[in-house]
Amino acid sequence: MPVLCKTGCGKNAVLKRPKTGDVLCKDCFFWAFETEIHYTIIKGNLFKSGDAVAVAASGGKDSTVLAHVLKTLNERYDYGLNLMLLSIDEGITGYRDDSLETVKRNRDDYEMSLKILSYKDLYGWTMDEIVEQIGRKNNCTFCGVFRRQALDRGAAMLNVKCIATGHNADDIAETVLMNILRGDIARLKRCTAISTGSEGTIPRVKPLKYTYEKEIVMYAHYKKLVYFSTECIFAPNAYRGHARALLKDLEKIRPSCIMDIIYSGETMAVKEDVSLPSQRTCSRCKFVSSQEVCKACVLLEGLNKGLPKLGIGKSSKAKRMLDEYHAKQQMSIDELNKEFQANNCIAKGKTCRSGGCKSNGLISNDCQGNKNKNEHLNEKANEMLTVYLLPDDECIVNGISPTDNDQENFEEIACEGSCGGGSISIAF
Amino acid sequence: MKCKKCDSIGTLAIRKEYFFCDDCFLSYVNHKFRACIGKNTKIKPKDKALLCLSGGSSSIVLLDLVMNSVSLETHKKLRITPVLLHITGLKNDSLNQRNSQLLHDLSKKYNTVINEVNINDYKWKNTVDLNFCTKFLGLTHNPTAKLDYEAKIKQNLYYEVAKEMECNLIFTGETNTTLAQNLLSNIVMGRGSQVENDIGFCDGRNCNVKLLRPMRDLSVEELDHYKRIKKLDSVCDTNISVNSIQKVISNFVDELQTNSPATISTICKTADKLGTAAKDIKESQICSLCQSNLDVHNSKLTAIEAISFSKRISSGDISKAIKICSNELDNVESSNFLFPDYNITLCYCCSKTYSELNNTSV
Repeated sequence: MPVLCKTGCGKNAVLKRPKTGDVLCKDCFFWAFETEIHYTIIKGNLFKSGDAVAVAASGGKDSTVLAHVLKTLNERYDYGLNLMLLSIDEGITGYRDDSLETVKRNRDDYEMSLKILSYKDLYGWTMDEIVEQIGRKNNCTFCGVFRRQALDRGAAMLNVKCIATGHNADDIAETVLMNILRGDIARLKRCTAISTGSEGTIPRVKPLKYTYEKEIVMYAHYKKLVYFSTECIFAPNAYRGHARALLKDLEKIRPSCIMDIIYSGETMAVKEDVSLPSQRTCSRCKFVSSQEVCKACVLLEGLNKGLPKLGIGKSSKAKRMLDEYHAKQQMSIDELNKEFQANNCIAKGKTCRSGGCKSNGLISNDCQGNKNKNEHLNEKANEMLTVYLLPDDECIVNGISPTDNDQENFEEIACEGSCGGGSISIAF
Repeated sequence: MKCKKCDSIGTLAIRKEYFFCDDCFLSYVNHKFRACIGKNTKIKPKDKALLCLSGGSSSIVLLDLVMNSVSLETHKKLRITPVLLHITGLKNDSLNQRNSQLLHDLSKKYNTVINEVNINDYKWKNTVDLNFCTKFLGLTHNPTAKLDYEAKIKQNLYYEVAKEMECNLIFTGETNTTLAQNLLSNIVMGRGSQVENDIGFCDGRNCNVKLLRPMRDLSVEELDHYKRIKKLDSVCDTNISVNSIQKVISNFVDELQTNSPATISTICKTADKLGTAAKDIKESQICSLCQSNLDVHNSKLTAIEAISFSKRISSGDISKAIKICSNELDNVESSNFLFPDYNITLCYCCSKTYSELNNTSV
């Protein structure tokens, strides 16, 4: 027997909302779903009129629905936002390559511009290669740390005011539980914030913070949105799995517990006498970090030195590993430099494009490449390029051909990534 | 294997790693207990403490530890006057009887008396508005809410009795295993802002009586060894219903603890660092069931606002919903919208528990 929609619109209900238990017809569900996100955006002060906003798009259900709803609401309520898609290609064969095809379809469907950054270009490593080094354990650490920074880099390139991510209520509840189980008090403190980011960083906002995962799936299904639904092939071993399993069991008993957990997270605070890591910028890459050198740099350094476990576990261990490594390397560096001088500088006769470079062909990292021709980039990007551009000499030293003069910034930065793979004198 | 304190042969292993002989183990447990009381400096000489005993293993060990410390004649003597309390009427009759018998025998052994109070017959005097107190305890349709409610009512009764007996302290026997489970349950039920009082060493919500948890550094594993060596009996005290949030969490913690033994201590250490987000709480009203502050957040938008907006919108209150979005109307009365039985003197979680218990049709 058909049940009538609870809003009293007269139509037959087609679904029972997981969030409230109310039965609704398709149209009322769409309206409720979208208006709730609108409510979150308005009450949470997420955007300002005229902002350029990057939607972090993976091709999965959350980001697809986010892009679709933001576009709809932007038109309906006249937010005046300039929306664009930003994707990160981790280089996971059989997962990301397929999902990126979905993102490209979204780009065409929603008429938004799309920027794709890849780990290979940024860091010189694909996730496939990283997993080969580190194994199936701890690989999510690399992926997560690199993606976080990659999004920051992408946002700086796109010159946007903020990044909107597709984290839904289930994700956040899961994160709260996981951070308690792991005792990660710093993350516990900020994981329920709807907008994160301090001065000097590009804030991230979560418009789907109060949206149930199940309703996102339903919305995508009834709206016939195209999304990619395979789980990452490397993910099953992650610690997050424990928290996810617990949340699923709890949700069966009391569906409202997802919101209750978020409420708990919002109403509790870390005691004042507990010392927390302060946020600052990494001394090497100038991106957000809680340490002198950020996790991404440590992990990358570990990969490049053949010590993939460097960033995993205690920092005292990392120090010991590095000391041993440096002792070994010192001699071979000296030898290499001698040999290099003897063999006539390869870069000889070619002018250094970056101007400020003082490098004489020796392996060193005190070069300051800062000629930036692309004026449309904002200051942040310029600053970043200052740090990331390496002079041609070093590229040659490391056996990689220099980038073409006319190429975009993006690829110039890419050069850094691949060069980083071979530079050996970077001191910690 | 050798005992890690003396060189005699170890008779037991804690976490499969640390070996002890019986004597060293007993003094180790006693030291942990006394250190927990000592470092928190909440006890003054001549305090009168109400020991709340269920008959389960942790309360039996608590009783033993306190009675031994009190009867010492050295400078280490614990200078408090213990008063024993056992609450009946929460379990089935046969279990009740076994519990009572056991506690009576024990109190005789320690040369003291135990006070028994039946929760169903108790005449509430001091607490303001608890006329609804015991009518829900027999219900079974919602085990999660029932367990939550039972715990709160029990705690209220502790305070009542403590006041009556002129005790200024209450000792309860939660181990770190129980506390880890309680922390997660608290979080899952929305009591995040109450963690400090519900899990910490001292619950200071009642201004006259402090509730202390001196067993919080001991684990169930350690209690079992202690009981075995001292030949103490206890009544099995797990009556948690299978289909409740509390049971799911307790199973989860047990399982995770087996595979990664640091789980419970990590969770408890996290709990020690948590407080409430509300800044100015002096003016705040207090929940009449759990005594927590009602104003617990500073921000304009919390999960309660979001879910009450969802409720509003999917029950057809569309015109109001639009006005709320355009800031013409405030999303107040949100809690009333969520819970038909909401009482203005209850916090979010207690309102929820109360509503769910009242709603017997589900």
